[in-house]
Amino acid sequence: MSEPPLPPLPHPVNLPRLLTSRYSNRVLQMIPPDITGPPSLLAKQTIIHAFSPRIAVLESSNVTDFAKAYGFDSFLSFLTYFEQALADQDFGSPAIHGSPSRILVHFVPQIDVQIASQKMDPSKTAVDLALSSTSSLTSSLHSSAYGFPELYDQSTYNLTLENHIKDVDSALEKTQFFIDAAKDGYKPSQTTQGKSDAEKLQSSIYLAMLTKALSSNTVVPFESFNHPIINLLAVTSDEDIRHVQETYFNWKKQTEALPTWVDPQSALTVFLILVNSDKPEELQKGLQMQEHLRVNLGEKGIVFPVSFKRDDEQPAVTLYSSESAFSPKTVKIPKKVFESFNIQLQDLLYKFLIPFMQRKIRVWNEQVIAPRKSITGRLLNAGKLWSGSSSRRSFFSFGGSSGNTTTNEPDELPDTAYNPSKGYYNSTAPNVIIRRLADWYFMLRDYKNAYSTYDMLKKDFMNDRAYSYLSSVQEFMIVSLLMGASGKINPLENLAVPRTNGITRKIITDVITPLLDSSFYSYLSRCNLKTYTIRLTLLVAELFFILGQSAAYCDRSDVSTYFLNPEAYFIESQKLFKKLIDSNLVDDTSCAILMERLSYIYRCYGKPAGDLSISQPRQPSYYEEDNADKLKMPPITTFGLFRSRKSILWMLMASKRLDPLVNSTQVALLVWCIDEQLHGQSEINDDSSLVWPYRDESVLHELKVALGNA
Amino acid sequence: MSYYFAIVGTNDAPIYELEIGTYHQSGDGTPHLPKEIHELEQFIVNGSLDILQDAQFKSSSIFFKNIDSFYGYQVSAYLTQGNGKLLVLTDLKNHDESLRQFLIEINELYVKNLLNPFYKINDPIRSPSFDSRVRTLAKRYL
Repeated sequence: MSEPPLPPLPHPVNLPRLLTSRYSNRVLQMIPPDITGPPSLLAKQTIIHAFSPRIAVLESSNVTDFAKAYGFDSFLSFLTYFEQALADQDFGSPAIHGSPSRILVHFVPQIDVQIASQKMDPSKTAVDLALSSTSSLTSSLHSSAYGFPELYDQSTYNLTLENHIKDVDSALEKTQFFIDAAKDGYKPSQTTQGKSDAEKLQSSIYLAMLTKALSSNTVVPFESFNHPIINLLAVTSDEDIRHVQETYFNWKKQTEALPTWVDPQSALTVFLILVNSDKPEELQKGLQMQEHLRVNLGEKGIVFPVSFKRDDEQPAVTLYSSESAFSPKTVKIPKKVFESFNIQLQDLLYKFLIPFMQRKIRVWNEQVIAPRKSITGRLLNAGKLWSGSSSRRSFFSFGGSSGNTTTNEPDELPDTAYNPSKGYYNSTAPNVIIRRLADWYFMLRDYKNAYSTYDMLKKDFMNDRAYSYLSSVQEFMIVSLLMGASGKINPLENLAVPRTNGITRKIITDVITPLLDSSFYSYLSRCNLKTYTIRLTLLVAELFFILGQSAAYCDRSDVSTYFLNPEAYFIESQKLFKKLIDSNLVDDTSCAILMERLSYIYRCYGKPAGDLSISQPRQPSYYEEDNADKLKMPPITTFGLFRSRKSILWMLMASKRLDPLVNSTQVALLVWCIDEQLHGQSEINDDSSLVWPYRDESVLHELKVALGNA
Repeated sequence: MSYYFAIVGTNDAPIYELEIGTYHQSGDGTPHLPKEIHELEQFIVNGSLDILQDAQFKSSSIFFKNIDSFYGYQVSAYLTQGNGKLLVLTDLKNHDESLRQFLIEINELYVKNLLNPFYKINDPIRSPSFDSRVRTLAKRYL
């Protein structure tokens, strides 16, 4: 008999965009959502998005007017709304022969604007990296105190997270599930109506935290993910060509004034010429402009016909902003405009961005990597170490005073060497080019090449004592290893690349753990970069979990041959989450969210196999039927597979950390979840076995009392 | 050094609990567990049952030393023949044979208690003589 359809929700719940896309629906169908957190595949999507290529946008005033006509602040914000549309795909599969089938991008302001905003923002305690040529001796002695900007301001981050939780709370309180639970005094009840909405809302909290912790537009010398790959200059066809040229030269001049660690030459410049499709003569003008720019400036242009007049009668498409994961800003634009823009953006990505990146990778491979790998290159490299080009003491200076090592004048150093007084390499240094090459491999999801390229740099950075560079390289070595491995098992497609080397126990102990410890120490103690330390730990912990959960849900016998048991990855992930919780780097709210994540990992033990076996009803044997006093047998098929008790412990700790008086809704939901777990466990036991958690002096009882008073 | 000792019945509910400090190294048996651990101790011990259940059929031993840990606190377990559990949470990392001996003797006490016709399995043990014997054993071994 089919179940009657559920009545509609009394209040429409505004679910975060991140959890309502087609891709997330696919994931959630396979791995059901949970109150303690989202499935790891959604976190993987967030990670891939965070390290996607940047496209810097410079727009003329005419283009800004065009964007304003459609209700956007600027053309840049118009483009950022397309990021979410692009993100709604499965990015689980790695690149084949260095060419990804799908790619994500971020639209950002021009790099000079970004660097200027970093200097102006007092929270990002950046020293003026561009103008620090008159460095004193004292600064060179304290090589860790360069004051590189943090990824984000921690107080703003905490505030954003708290606001997000408040938004989630107000939406949660409207769900039928929460209304029913509140009526029953948060006791586990049979009504699960609206539970999935509540679970999705709760899941959005961790995803928001992860997104905020990973994605940042902070530009630093030691990694090039936030350095734009394409400079998109948006103009309209009706603009004067001389004015366009002038804008171009002004922009060029500004890029020349950039700090020496930025290489504007490595980015592709593309003109986006918007043509008013309502005026047929404009197309000709646009084509002329394109030709002119190509001949006179040597830059490429894309002619893009679009209607400048807003027509509200046409069918519209809702676009979601990627800025806020929850209650996103939405703007409606005509479907025609959306589709034509989407096609043009696809063209920009697949005809300009990817081929350009691949071409550059080839060139850098030939120019920098090949000579280094050759025998002569190796000999020269060995010679370089002795010749004293690095900041270390030269081979021939044994016996000299140790003070010589730090009093190297910057003038004596070649352009390509690490400058210990400023704390960075020039953009022309081979090491920087190799780092950029590795980052580009990474962004194209060619993790194997990315790993080997990062590996080439490790020794040089160590010799130069370029600790910020070193820790970043070590971080991305681990991330490429884990991302590469997780790309080989896709539970959504039930695919596993056969005969591949997964992450074995040996790799974890010999490669990942030492790299992680070294990077953690360097980031935190040598470079004083807290947010980078948080990013490192969170990223690696989550990647281990992704690997574990993917292996658990990939129902193929050959997975176990090449990958470890999911439990081994879960344990590694738990260790790192615990390390982050204990490091005092994050505030109480973030800490509680991390504890919930830990609890979710414990809840994932024994799934999905455990779930299947639990659903099979066990037939009581003849002896049990006859003798009611006989001890009940535990479910043998799932005995020892679960970690639900551990999960309860971490949920309790999270509830305590959240404080029932401050975050009563969150705590109420967690307490409900704990109750449900406790009763779920006791399926073989009677209710008398569940007296102890509710005793008067118990934490759970205290929480319940506090919730009652809240 | 402090200990939290619990006898867990076959239905995974605690039937006897004791918080006690060491009598060695001039200790007077007063427990010094921090507040955070004190309020969570039952849940910590309950959590270690997950690990114990995973391990108990993979090994023929009945004593599991340091089977689980939580912020520097170790949990050791002893399985009784009827699937009851004797669990000890302690901040002592490298305890010697004494803990095992203590649990073996407690097991004997527990079995004697089971033989009592007025005692029903999994009921809380409220007998004062049982408690005083456990305390005596704790004084001797812990």
